[in-house]
Amino acid sequence: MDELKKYLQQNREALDSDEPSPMVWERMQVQPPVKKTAIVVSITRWAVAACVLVLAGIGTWSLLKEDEGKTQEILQASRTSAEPRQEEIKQATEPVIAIPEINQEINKVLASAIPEKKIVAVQKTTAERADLIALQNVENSFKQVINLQRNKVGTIPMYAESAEYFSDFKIQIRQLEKDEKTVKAEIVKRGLTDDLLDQLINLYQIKLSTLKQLQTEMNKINNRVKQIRRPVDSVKTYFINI
Amino acid sequence: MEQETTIQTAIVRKACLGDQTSQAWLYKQYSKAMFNICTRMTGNQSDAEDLLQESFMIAFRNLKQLKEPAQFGGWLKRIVVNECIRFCKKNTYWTTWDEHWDETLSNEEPGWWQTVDIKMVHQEIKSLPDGCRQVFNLYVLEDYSHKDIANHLGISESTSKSQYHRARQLLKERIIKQIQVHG
Repeated sequence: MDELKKYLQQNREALDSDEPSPMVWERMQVQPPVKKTAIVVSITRWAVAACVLVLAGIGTWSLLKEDEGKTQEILQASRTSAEPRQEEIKQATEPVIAIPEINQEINKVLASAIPEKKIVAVQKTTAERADLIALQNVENSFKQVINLQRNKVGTIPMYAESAEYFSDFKIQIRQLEKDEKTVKAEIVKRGLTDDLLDQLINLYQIKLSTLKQLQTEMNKINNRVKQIRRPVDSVKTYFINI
Repeated sequence: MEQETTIQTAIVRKACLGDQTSQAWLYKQYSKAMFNICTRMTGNQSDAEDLLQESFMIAFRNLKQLKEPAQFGGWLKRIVVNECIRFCKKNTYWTTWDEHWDETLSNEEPGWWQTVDIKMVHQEIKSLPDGCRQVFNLYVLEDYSHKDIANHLGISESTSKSQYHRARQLLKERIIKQIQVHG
């Protein structure tokens, strides 16, 4: 081993002679150990979340309105188709004056029971469809933004650091994708609840901010390489496949 | 020794739950050694204090990740060194040093440092220029290889070696000058 290195390591304790000011601990006590979140990142997150929710809301509202119109049409169509039948039955039963109670019963059933059944069925499928469409809207809006960010990251050429340097980001993205699958499976099982929708939106937001952080980190490294004016080695330049 | 480990384990567990007294105990126990790593790496008290504070905050925040509480010291030191490296990467601009360091070292008088006061050596290490100071500290005191230093600081292995030899040469020149002036 290097003699100077050996000597300094042996006398390491004598080297540690400086002491920090007591202010350091005081500052630490004032500042609670809470995870720092960049203000810009959180504002962006909230803005993205708000946009997506507004889009999803508009989408759901317009679809529900459209379905409502269709339901009305179906209702009207069924009423109009039921009326001639009622008249047909009336005509057919008119000669049989001896049993008026039965006629009335038949009229009641034809006038009310048949269309109501149809409405119930239509309403049920509308709610399910609205859920699925809302989910699809949220998913599509986020996926567009995420894919845009992913493409951005994938097209930035890197002049320094190896691919392993960014492996933490890759692991995090894979984990988020796993979580996304789990939440989706839950939605299939339990239907789209507010809680599950929140979880899904949260996952997309984290994914987006992770990709943003990766881009910032890559830019920082590239800027540093540019600042020190090291010649760019085109062979060592690579792109991240994330 | 075993009792010390047990005490530390208990204290780390309490600190993990946010107990301020335990955190204060850990700070008191390790702050001096960690602060000296920071001063040697940054070369000034103010940045060193900021890094020390940041490192302890990171440690206390992530204490749950520490599987072996007895290894708190080593774990904290890794955090401190990593924070120092991060700081250096942000603030150091590397320039090439063209002198033939291999020749200068072969002419070096062996063991010249043994007659020098260790405090003076420490003082001169802290006042070495940016770049070579960090490489010197990582190589000599933190026991990093030149390959590791190159990977961590984003420089080539040969830059790391040449910066180390530059640091040694400067250290010797400055100490000799100090002895000549002050005796």
